[in-house]
Amino acid sequence: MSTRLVSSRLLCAALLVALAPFAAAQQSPVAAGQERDAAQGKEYREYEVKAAYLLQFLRYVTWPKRADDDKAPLVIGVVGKSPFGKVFDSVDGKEVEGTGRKLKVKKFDVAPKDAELRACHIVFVCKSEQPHLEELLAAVADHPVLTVTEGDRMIERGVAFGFVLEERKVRIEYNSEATQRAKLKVSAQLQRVVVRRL
Amino acid sequence: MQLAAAISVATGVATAQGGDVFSLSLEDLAEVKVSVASVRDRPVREQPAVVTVITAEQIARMGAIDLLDILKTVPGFWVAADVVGGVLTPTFRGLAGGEGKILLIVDGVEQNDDLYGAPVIGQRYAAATIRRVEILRGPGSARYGGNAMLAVVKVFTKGAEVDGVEASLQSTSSARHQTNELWSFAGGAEIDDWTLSVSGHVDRGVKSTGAYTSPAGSTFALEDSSDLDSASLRLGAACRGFAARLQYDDIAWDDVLFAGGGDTQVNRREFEQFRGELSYELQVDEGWTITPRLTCSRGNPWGYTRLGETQQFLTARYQAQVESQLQTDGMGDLLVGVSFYRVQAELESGITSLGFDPATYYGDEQVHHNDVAVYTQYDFDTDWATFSVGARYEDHSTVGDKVVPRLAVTRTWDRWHGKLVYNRAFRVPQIETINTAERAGSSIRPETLDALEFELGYTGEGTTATGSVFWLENQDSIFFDTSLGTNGGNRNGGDIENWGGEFEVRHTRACWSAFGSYSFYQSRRNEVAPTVATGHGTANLGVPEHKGVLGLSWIPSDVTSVQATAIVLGRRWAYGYDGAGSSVQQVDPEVDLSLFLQHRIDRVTLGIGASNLLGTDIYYAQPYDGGLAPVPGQGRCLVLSMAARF
Repeated sequence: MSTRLVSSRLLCAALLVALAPFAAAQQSPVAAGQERDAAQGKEYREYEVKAAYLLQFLRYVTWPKRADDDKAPLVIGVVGKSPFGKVFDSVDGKEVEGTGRKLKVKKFDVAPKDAELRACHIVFVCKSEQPHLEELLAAVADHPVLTVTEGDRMIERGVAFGFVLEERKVRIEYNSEATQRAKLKVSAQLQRVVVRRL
Repeated sequence: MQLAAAISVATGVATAQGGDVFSLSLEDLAEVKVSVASVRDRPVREQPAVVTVITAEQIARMGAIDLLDILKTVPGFWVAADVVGGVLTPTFRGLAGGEGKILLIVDGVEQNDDLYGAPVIGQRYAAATIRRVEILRGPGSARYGGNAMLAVVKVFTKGAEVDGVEASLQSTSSARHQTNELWSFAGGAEIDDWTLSVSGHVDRGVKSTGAYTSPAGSTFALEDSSDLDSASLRLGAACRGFAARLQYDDIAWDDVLFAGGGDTQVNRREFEQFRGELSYELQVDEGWTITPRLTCSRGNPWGYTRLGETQQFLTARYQAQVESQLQTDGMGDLLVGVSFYRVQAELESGITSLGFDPATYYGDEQVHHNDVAVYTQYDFDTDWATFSVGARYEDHSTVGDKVVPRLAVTRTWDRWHGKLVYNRAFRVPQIETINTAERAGSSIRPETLDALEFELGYTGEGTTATGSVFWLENQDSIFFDTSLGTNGGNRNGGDIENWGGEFEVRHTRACWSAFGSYSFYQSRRNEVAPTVATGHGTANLGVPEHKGVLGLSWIPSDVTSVQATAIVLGRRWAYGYDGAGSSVQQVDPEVDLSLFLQHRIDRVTLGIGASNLLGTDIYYAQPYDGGLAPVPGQGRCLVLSMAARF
């Protein structure tokens, strides 16, 4: 009899302990901010937002001058099984304002030759290629290529920018050493939206 | 300055709300909410369950040889041995998972055998072929059925992402004996619309180099009497939603344990299994897929050759399954599935002294059972939290039906997350479990489990930390009662109630990383007498109450890493020889320290290290009173590895 009774008490205690942080969080300013977002009613697909970030990177990151700068398109290379679907279709091949240059999105199902990677301005490494992230980074090491991927703690593995999801929002983590090695300049405005920096 | 016009081409990218995501400023992008594609794609901390993910990189750095090495580092898991040749199966949260309680899935295909539902691991799943392991640390019956009562281990092997072939050799040696030589390969390619993958291994070694003392007191060395051979081949092909998989694996080893060293020759155990699966993902509409799946499994599990007699089962399992997954914007994700399987077995040849005579065992007839299940899971996000509600109804032709619900609430705020998960789960007894019960004159029904888990976690600045507490109650627990009938048999016993906690911290910097975990359980009530460590407090037989794992990696460059991993086990209790006979004995605490260095030169990766560096006596204990004393594991070994990518 007593064992069953204690079990019920244990269950109730665990429930109370479990609910406490939820209740505390509900009263936090962050939670209040979420309510405002909800009131705005704007919600996008995850990879639409990530694609938009990649295009913003083209504007807020400065690459060293290349001989072909005036004519060559700005190239985003997507390496691996692309989760973007047709998100880029409406902007691919069209001009990026303020640069006078067109956007070119290249999809590589598997890691291409090093020269093709180095020809990209941004390389986005999809989840399917993350097991080989170090090899991809080695291929573009010391070249002016902005490396981006997604998932927790990816900047520790050497990429310049990592997308993470927090509270259903796409956040950016930033590895400044990686951009310094690649001789890329990241604007202060972009650095301000970074949630974690290495 | 707002960046609404930053990209002049930003027109016409339709969103669900008709807005233009490319017109958003950086600040807006940082605040906009996204609809996450599916439950499967959620980050670990947002998944509606307590989950551990281990990547290929982590596996390589620790110098793991097989899946057993990986699972040992996961909070809550340990390994138990059973009397049938010292077969190794996982334990979890204080309970044995050997018979149908922990589901092992490799590339989407269930691996548990069809006689007992056992996830037989240990020198069977080569670590070098594994791309990722996802461990659902908690019941998964509502989604995965009657073999997932305690936990689910999902293994994903390497494939097309290799774009070529990786081949590796791992060799381990003790001072006097080569203990293991494992050749493995994995690779794949994408050709037009086809994605192809292949992996496999060949392994020769010994199960142990230690000495075994039977419950009756006889001692003998296993170094020359536990030879083990295993091999596997896994093929996969996918094209435009169509996917096909073929898997073959075979493992056999010398067994002197079952007979307590009393036989005049070394006996042999063998598992051989073939599995095939066809599936097609039909894209009905954007965000809505229907996936029919056909699976066929045929095998010869639990084969045994003893003193010239051979025992061989032939099993087959045919499963048809259809899953519908609907992902909506703002309305949540809905999964609905229906499954039917038929499982059958016959005894082709048997060892009469063990009661396995084909003429009387199944009466020369094939035994079969049918099982039908309907299940659903609905995940939806609110501004406050993510909710997951699911349930499963399953009806088995012999042991009856069950309904099990699950409920999970996941909340993230700042860098924190909290999860509260309730599951009711069940175990469907498989063919041989039912058969031994009926043979001994007892009826058997599914056992059930109620589990409540709470996890609190933190992610940030290179650090992740999680802590979870659990309470579980296993009702009508099925166990093997050696006193039942002539040769013993399975029956439902009483209840087992455990509680405990699991804590994990991982910190990663550019050139080093460290991780540590501690897990414990206590048995509050155990009515299943053969699993009770009588007179020894809150422990269940064979399973350590305390386990800690510490790891430290130094990564001086992209091509070099050194990792030290220590697994510290508290004492356990198990039946063993006490000088006069068999009684509950203490199995001493253990420290298993390994060290592994790897260095990559172009496409070749070399590794060298040591496992069980301290030479600790490692034992795997039987988690019930079943006639097996603790089985020794490997002693100190030198580990050499070489992998090349072509």
